[in-house]
Amino acid sequence: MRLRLALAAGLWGLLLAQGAEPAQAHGARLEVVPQAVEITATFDTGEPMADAQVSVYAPDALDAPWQSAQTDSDGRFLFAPRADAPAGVWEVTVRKAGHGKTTTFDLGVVSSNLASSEQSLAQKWLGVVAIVWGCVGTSLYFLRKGDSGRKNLDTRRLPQPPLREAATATFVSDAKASRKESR
Amino acid sequence: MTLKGMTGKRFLWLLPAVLTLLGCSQGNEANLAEENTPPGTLIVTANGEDFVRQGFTTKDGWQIDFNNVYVTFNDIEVFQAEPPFEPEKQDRPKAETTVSLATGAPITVDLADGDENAEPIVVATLADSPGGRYNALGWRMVAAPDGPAAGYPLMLVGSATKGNESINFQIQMEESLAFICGDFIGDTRKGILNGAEAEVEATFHFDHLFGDGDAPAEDEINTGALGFEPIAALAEGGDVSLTSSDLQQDLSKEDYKTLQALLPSLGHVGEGHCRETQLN
Repeated sequence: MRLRLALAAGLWGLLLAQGAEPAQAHGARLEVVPQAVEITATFDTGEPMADAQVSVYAPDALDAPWQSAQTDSDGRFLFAPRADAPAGVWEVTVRKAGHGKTTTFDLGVVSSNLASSEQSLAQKWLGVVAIVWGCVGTSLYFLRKGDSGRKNLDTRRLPQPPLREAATATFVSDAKASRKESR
Repeated sequence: MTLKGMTGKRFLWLLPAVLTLLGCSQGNEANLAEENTPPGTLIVTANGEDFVRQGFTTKDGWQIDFNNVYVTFNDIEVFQAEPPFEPEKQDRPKAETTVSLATGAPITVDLADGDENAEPIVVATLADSPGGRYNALGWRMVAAPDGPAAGYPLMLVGSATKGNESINFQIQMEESLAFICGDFIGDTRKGILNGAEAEVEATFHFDHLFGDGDAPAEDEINTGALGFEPIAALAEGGDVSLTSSDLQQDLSKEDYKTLQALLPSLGHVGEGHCRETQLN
């Protein structure tokens, strides 16, 4: 038996027959599924696993199905996750007539990877900024402490430097520019 | 400078370090969440299903009731396979975590033990196994070192009845088999170890050998099965005792070939399939 799984990302227009209301003259119902996972199950012979039992398991609750359903006459099942579906590796089992198979799909792998890499990048930048900021700040702190020492000394000899100038220099990486701006 | 100003500036100098530590701690929490699946006990069971526990009717109308179905296990391995193992495509699971039976000594179990509603038979208990998702199972069937099935990896003992005829049979298979299987598929889920206990199951489909009288004759389970009639034909005085060598000698070439082709399909994990990697 082969179980083929296709992840369809992007916008899908889809007509879901099972969601349709009882037949009415001139009645129609359309449902759009923006993101869905299509599962196609076949026996080794290539014959579709029609009306097979499908169980979908969320990554945070693998012991109980998130959704149970059946394949259609072509052995297909379309899983349209709800908005609250957790990201991660989901499991799907398809069973029929003593044959079964499990497969997995990574729901939200794009967004979760992006989120992960963005977070990682943000953390890296935060670290870089923090280090630069810390170095400059520390340098200026000791410089100022030196000044302060001098100041203590200078208190006696020199007038105390303006606090505003020192403080402005602490919070920017280009102290000269800052000083220029501060002026 | 006022005390208030100094406190504020000191805090601002500390801010980068605080933020950096915060960033690091968030990452650590995420990793811990992934790695915090607690260890537990893996229980390896063997199941002959209702065919063994309750008996069944073969494709050619023989009612089979088993007294004993001895299977001898060795080299049991349980895998956390990533990606999930596909026996049709892969030779062996790719797994970062594999738990194997430490003793290495063959274990013989009787799949017919207990009543018709008995639970699957416990083969081994693997304590302190790492937590996680065990989705592949491998085992070898080797000759039993001792006991009633000594010398045989698989031994079937029971009776077959059709009409007024009844046959006591004993079939001792000499073939060593090895199976590597994917995830268990059945009414319940198995192999999810998050502390406490989790089961994995080696399942044996004896209907593949004899067929299933409850299924249509044209069903694959019957068209490919040996049935019991070829074995019944070898009985004398209501008894038949055969080894693999006897079967090779006494069955027709076609029937023996069918039997040999069916043996690798005995091993399953529920309804999930296995790769048979050894037949000798």
